[in-house]
Amino acid sequence: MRDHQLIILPEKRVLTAPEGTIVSALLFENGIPIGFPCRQRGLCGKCLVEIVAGEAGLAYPAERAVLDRQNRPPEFRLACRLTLRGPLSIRIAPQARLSTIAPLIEGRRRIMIIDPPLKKFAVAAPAASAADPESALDGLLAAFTPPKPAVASTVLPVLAGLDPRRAGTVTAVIYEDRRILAVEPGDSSGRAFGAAVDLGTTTVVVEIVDLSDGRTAAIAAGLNGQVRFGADVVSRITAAHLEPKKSLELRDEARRSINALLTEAFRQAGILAADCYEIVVAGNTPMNHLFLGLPMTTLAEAPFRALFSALESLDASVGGLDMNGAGRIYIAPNIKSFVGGDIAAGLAAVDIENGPEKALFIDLGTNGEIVVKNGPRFLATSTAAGPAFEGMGLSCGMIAGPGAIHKAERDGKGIDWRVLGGGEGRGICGSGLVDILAVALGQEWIDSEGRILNADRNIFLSPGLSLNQKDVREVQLAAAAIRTGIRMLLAETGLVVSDLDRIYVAGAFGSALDIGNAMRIGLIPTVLPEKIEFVGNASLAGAKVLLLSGEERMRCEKLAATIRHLSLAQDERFQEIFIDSLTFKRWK
Amino acid sequence: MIMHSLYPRMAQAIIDGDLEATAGLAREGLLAGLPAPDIITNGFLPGLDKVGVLWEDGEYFLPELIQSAEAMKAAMAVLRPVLEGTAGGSAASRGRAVIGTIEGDIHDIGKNLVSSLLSANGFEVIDLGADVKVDRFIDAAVEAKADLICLSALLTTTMVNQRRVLVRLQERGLRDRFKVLVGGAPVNRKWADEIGADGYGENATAAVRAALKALGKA
Repeated sequence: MRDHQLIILPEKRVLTAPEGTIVSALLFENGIPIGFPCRQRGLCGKCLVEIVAGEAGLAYPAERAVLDRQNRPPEFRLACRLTLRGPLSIRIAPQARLSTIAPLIEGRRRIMIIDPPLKKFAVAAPAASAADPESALDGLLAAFTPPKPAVASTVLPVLAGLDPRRAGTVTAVIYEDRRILAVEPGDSSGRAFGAAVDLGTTTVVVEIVDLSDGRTAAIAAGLNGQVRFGADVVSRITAAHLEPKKSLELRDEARRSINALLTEAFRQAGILAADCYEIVVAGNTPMNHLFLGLPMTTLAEAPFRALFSALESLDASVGGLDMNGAGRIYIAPNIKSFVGGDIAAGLAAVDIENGPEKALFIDLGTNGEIVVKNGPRFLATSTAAGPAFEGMGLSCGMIAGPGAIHKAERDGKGIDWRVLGGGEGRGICGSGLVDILAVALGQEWIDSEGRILNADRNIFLSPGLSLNQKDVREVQLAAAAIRTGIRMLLAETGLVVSDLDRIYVAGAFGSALDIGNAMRIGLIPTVLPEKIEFVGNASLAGAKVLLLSGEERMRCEKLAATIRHLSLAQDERFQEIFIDSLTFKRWK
Repeated sequence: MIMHSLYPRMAQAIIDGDLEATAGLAREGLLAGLPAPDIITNGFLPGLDKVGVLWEDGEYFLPELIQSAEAMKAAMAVLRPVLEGTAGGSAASRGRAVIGTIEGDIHDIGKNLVSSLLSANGFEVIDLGADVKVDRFIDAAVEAKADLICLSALLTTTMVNQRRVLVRLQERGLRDRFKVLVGGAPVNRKWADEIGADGYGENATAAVRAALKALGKA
């Protein structure tokens, strides 16, 4: 068997392989970054190469059909249909190169390869043949090399609409390379959309994503309607536990909230619900259990236990979301029982496994989840910090949004602040709270024990807007919870703060948290500022990562399964460390 | 009541959370011939009451509360041996309480606070910990010949087990033997009345007041 050379231009890279080798396989083995959405079956037309020199032979009709659909001149071929018969020089078409995106809006730019489990590509639908009367479905499947994908019977009515006298084109909607969920008439392969949902306790955010290039088509955010059952997750669990029909009401409310945002986002993106075939939902453990309408018994009383961590994707109908009825819903996996899919998604968004060896991930939300990484070992905990950082439970706190005081700084002997969206401030959100307290400490309006020192017992901003003693105590408790969680996780892992190479801080504050002020009040340990990375809504970014990559999903599930959990409540050192952490002071 | 120059200093030492000072002043008081019960009632307890006020005002927070409770315990460590040896011994113990976090619930900081304050206020406290089964509360109270059973719950789902304790006491014919107090974040007076508890405290200092009131010593 003779060997031949394949030369890749313009870089002039030379690969050598035996005669008969399929070019796509050779490129893949040598790590050339080409995407193979249809897994080298000759269907999607993505692995386009231009023959510059050498003998390529002629394309077979099936390949020709795909190339003609794209209007490619004869020197273009599909690498997966090209065999090496002699020396060959090729140029890889730009559209063949792997698509990448940087999922995080804030923080370091991390590039990921787009390869969503949900793909659409055009397929030839042959005309009926009197001589060989195979079924419409078999005619379609002929284009697929083994193993043939499984086919949902709901596909058949679409095939009934095809004219059997003429060959045509349909678009197959393929899931995880092994299942055809739907077939659409004509070539709709360019319209493949999905949605990433951050199902927060208080706020829900929906992002419509173009699955072909990872582009954000629209974003919509709103309040989680479940708040009418209780502001915090425990009241909702309780309500569902005491009255089983309440768990269905809570489920319906979650669906309503998500669907309202989907409707708005679809409209903004200019697409229909039917164009959306997959939705990834990232939420904490009680949130995803409530979303599925599950009984809350095991989450209501000690010993607490989640019903699931990783779950196969669900039928769209089970999830009750506004999307294509043949679509799928994937729930980001929970990490043991207390730390949820929102955190698993967040870890995927920051790609923590490929980051620095010793790192910390902190989510400054209601549950205050923290994950510590020490090489290959991960440990997580939930601190139940409370919603103070989301502006709830305070005299004039509010969620980050228009009208929220989100930044503050000292102004001589006074204080100056900025309102999100301008105008009069209506309330104070998390990042504003941290800034105001840092200023108050600097101005000696409060002492490090949290006592307000002026006669009014009040940190006054403007009429109707001030922080009272109880507000300060609420923040102290929340910050102490986070700090205790960090201290205990580090102690358990045998690390100290100075060992950490990176600290990721996640949370939907409305604007970047002022890291210096967060260190000043002791919310996070004092380290070199360049070690801190504020990543914003990592849960949403993570849901998007999971939507766009089957491999990321597998890695996420694998990581979620290996992360160990530290129970703070069962640890007798908790109270002492917690009490000690109440002071507003720097620490390391 | 005879005022003694030591009394205000004792109160202040509690307010300052100064363990060495309270122990030292307790010894000084005994050496000065002051009766141990008087030292507690006129010297240290007023300090603890003031701490309670500071706590409810938000001036004092958890660390200060605990520190003052510890300072009280330091004084009690000096005084208790003397108390036990005298006729006023049993009178000085204001009561014996069994306390714990109810079955199904593992939260205990609040309960620990109440336990500390009751102890600082002269109660003998048997702390059963958290996730304590309904019958264990009753068995422990019987064995210790306690006056009070104090039940803490942080979740509305576990709060219902407080009612079960009262039902069990009835079933075992022991209801009249103990005063039952309830507390915890989801608990309120309405719940306490509904389940037939003898008292309720919305925070640690209120718990002490409720305990005293339940035993007719308010």
